[in-house]
Amino acid sequence: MQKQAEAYLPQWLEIATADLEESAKNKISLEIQNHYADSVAAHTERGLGSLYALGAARNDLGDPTQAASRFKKIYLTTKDAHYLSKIEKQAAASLFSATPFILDLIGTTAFLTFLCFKDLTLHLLCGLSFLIYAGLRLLPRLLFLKFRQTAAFRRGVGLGHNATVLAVFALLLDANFIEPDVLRDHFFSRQAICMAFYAVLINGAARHGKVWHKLKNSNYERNDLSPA
Amino acid sequence: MKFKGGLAPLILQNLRRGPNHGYRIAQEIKEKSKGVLDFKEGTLYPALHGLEAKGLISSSMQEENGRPRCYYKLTESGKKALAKEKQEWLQFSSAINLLMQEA
Repeated sequence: MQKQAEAYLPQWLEIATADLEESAKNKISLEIQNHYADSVAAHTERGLGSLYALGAARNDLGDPTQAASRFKKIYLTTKDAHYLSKIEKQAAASLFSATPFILDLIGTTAFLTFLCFKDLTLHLLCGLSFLIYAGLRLLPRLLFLKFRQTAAFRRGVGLGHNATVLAVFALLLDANFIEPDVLRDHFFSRQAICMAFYAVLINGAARHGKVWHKLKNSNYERNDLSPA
Repeated sequence: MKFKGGLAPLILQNLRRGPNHGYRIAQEIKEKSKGVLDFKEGTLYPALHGLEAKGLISSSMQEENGRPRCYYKLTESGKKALAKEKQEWLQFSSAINLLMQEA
């Protein structure tokens, strides 16, 4: 019984901090462990036996699943952190380096095509391509050069990605890319592929939005990024 | 009237008197409210960390009885937020009092 009561705290912490990135996990665990120890000591001082004191402290912890959902609104999950480190790595890379090479190529091709050809469709396509390049590559790179050690860098990059995905989505919708009878007759038609593309865009926007919302208020100083 | 209730203003008010750690904040709120406001750890720490993320409080590690403890203190923007919350609460509670005291 005693062992069961003692084992409750690690279980509680595991549920409450599930999927959170390591630094958040460590901070939360340290504080809750201290709080729990203080709580057990206080209940023992009040005259409770050790088992009852553990039980009372356990009751003070509350529901771990509710705590987990509250913590997830504040801290980045491992998935969020992975996504952010990927776009930060991209932002830190200089122009035409290996990681963001395709985006740099898209931007340059769009710019050159815009200058060389006068066709309207090509101009629209170039505009769209350049928008993607500016939002996903150019803006993060500029933010990295200017604000890499402040919270503004992550917030700006997150916002840039989100705004770009939404802008591309809005532009494609405006261009009537979707037709209403999609998926009725030709499942693997061009429209079906477009639908899949939209689903990816919506999913991306939702993910960017969620991470950006967490970063919006964050005030942490950053000093873990390499110099420009 | 827009009223933002909850634990955040109580934490800010507690930290007005100086740096404090989570356990003591919870105990002091419980004692001062004569046991009416008793928050679980699963509620207290997300609120504390949320306030820290917003820059209303800041934290630092200090050693206490051989254990590292996380102490929180009010920042300048936290002081402003507290003053605003207090004003809103006073307006709100006096309006409710007026209604409740009606014969």
